[in-house]
Amino acid sequence: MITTSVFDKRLLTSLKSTIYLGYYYRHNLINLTQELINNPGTDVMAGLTAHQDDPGYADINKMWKDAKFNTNSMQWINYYPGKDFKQDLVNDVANYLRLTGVHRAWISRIDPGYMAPWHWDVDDNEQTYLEKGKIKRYSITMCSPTMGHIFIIGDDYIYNVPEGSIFKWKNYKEWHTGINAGMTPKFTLHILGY
Amino acid sequence: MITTLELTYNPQDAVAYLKQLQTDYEHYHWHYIKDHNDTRSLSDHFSLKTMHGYGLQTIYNDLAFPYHCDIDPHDEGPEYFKDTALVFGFFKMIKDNFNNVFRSFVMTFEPGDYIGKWTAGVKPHIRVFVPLVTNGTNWLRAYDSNGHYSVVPEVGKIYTIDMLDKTSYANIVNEGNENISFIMFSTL
Repeated sequence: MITTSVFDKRLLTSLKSTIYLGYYYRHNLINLTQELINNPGTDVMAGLTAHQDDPGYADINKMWKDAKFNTNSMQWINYYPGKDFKQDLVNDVANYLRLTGVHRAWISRIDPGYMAPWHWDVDDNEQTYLEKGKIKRYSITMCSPTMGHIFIIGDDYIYNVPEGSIFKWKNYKEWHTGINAGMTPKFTLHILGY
Repeated sequence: MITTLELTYNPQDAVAYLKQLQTDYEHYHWHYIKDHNDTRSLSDHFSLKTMHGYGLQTIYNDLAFPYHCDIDPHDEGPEYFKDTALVFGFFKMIKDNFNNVFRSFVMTFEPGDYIGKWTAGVKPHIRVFVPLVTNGTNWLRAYDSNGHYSVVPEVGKIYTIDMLDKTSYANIVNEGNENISFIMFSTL
């Protein structure tokens, strides 16, 4: 039973790059983050380093180098359905969002003191996805409101929102960044579909 | 208090509207238990095992995303609700007779489903009921300091419950053997 209102006018009236779609509470997302807390997951930075000269990746890497971005602060971890958590969650979210199908889904994690600097997601399978029609992208916050947890998508600064908050991206390739200036890991569920 | 308005409508128009939702707008259709985002909000005041419906308006900027019957009591008002593609024909004709319409739904309660008692929440309002399919039972009920009221809704008539008084309650109880379907919305 919810004891406090989850209605947040800010999410309905001020977002520009995303559309807020209420809350997903059909699974306990906080419990899932606790299950993942000791799972090392997949280090995304290692993957980016391996692809740093590939089209798309190279532009982003150049931007970070030109800015002399503090590479020691760059770190994020991904978890994948079927490997790190149950596919059932993705299926249920997709059903809730009325998606016909899912291209890919993952949970991102940023630990305290780290960030994923400005980037857009390079996806080698993008053209294949487009054959299914318009690509739809959603992000769902998985932590209770936590000081220092910040997710920026285009013009939207998302912070202090309850777990389960759903944000639909207007542009699936939008520039974005995740920042954790808080004291606990920040988890977000992402889903691309059609 | 439950009031029967002088405003009436052709029952055939109501049935046609419901059938058009069922045939052309399935994308908007939700089942409360299967699709609702927060089953934790179900308490002993509700038994909505089979209740289903459509959000005719939405608070979201994605007008195609089904708006569920959200019972989280927030300080909403008509300024937050936008018409979806389901505001056409029969419902639009009804809606145009009222000012500041918000939280509009089509709901179907199967036998045994019930909701409430609920209060006005933080936004006192008049709640309007437009029966689409009914079953001869007194499923619409209201309670205030003067007593309790119930009616046997008839298709073709429009009923209101005064929720301007924060001590008022209302509930819907389908004790019959057949489904009931109705449009429900709030107005100021």
